[in-house]
Amino acid sequence: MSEKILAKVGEKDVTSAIIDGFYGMLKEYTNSDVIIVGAGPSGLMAARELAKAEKKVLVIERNNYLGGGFWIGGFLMNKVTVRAPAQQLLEELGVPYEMYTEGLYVADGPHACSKLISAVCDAGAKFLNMTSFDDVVIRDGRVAGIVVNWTPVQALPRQITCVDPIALESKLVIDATGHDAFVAKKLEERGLIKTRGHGSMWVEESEDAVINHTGEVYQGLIVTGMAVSTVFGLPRMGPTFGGMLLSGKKAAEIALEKLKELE
Amino acid sequence: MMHMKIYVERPLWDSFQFFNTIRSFFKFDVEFEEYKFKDPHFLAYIRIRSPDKREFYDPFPIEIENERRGLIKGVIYDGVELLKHFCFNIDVSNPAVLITERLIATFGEDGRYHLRMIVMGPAAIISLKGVLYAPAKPLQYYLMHSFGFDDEIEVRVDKVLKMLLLQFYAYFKYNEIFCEKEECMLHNCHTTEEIKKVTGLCEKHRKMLKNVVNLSPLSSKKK
Ligand SMILES: [Zn+2]
Repeated sequence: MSEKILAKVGEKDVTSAIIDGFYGMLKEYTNSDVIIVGAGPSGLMAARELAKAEKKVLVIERNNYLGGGFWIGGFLMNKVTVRAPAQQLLEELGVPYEMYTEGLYVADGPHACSKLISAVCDAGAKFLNMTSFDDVVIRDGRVAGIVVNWTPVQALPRQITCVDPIALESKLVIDATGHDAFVAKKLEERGLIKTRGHGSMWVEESEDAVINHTGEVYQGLIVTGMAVSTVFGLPRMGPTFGGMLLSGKKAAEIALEKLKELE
Repeated sequence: MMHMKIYVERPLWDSFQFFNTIRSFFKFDVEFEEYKFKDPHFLAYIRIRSPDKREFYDPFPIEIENERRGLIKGVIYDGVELLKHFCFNIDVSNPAVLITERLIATFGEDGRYHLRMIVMGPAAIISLKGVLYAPAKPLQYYLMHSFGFDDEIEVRVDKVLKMLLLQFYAYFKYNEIFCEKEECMLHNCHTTEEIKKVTGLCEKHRKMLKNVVNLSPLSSKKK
């Protein structure tokens, strides 16, 4: 007679646990302080800072996996580089890194990315992955939430895409959707802002420009990361991540200020 | 008596190292003055947004605020518009030059913007960052950069500054635009390799400019 290793539970209990857990969370997060769209390095960094400041933070990610491009550096090589002073953020996250040359640091992509994700979870932010941004909620001339749908719905044949999206409300939305700048582009579709598109010539200081221009572009909408490049038409940049992390951190600082103003 | 006025944009003024180099290069008086653009909205307006479109946008408030605070790293400006704006604010009866840290580019006949070291008209704007970035570098430099490594840029800034100032002077005084001879300071260099080949003035331009410049500093200070 072999002893059972795992506790005996019914299949319906497993299903119930998933449903109760998920829908309990979803219901609680129909209204958040901040919704962050995109779980790449800048979105995750913003989420961690805001959740650490005890804000109610929901992160939307269209993929199943979190982390965006932070798992790998250039040319599919899984080393990520940051320039000073962004190594301090690696330090804070407990990511081992080495100095490559003065001012340039290199870390393992999987280690850096997983540490960042876990820091966001530890800080208390919640995720909706496999969830795609669909539209913005605008109320009284400001962004007041987003409309989302299951990512797989986009892949369904047209005749069965009658799956309506749902709305989630928040005091602020952060667009961390990378080059696409999905949220900002939605505001542009409605004629509320004008984005500049990106792809300007390469210059070394483009990361600085992204950090400097991280901010509110419409009442209630803050842009961070590569979305900043798209909105402002800033020069393109190389595969280094310091700018993304610092932009996320700055987005969180601005969000905290705005939340204070809203109180 | 001809003289030249050189404006150096704040905050570059504080760290500018070439006052004496430039003064001793020209035989006429060179006057320096600190310069500050007064219209942050305009500066934000004339930023280049796309390499292949000459389109200007009403700036976002944060862009104007960043102009005000001097947070302009990585921003590129339309050189022609910036020059027009500059000329409007200064006396152009004598040669006047603005030296700035801003990156400037001009829209070429090929339908694309190109980074520039200098933009010339009734006055001139020289971009000190443009001196570092605009001339094409050996391929190795770009390869290193595409992997995120900062390779040192090998440009003799003092030499290039003298070349650009002289080019503008020749244009201002004699309507002379560039020289074919690759050793001549009036040669329009597009690469760091071309800059290295410049040794002084060609015969024609030595005759034209011998009463204007002291050429010894250029040849004596070889790297
Ligand atoms: Zn010549």
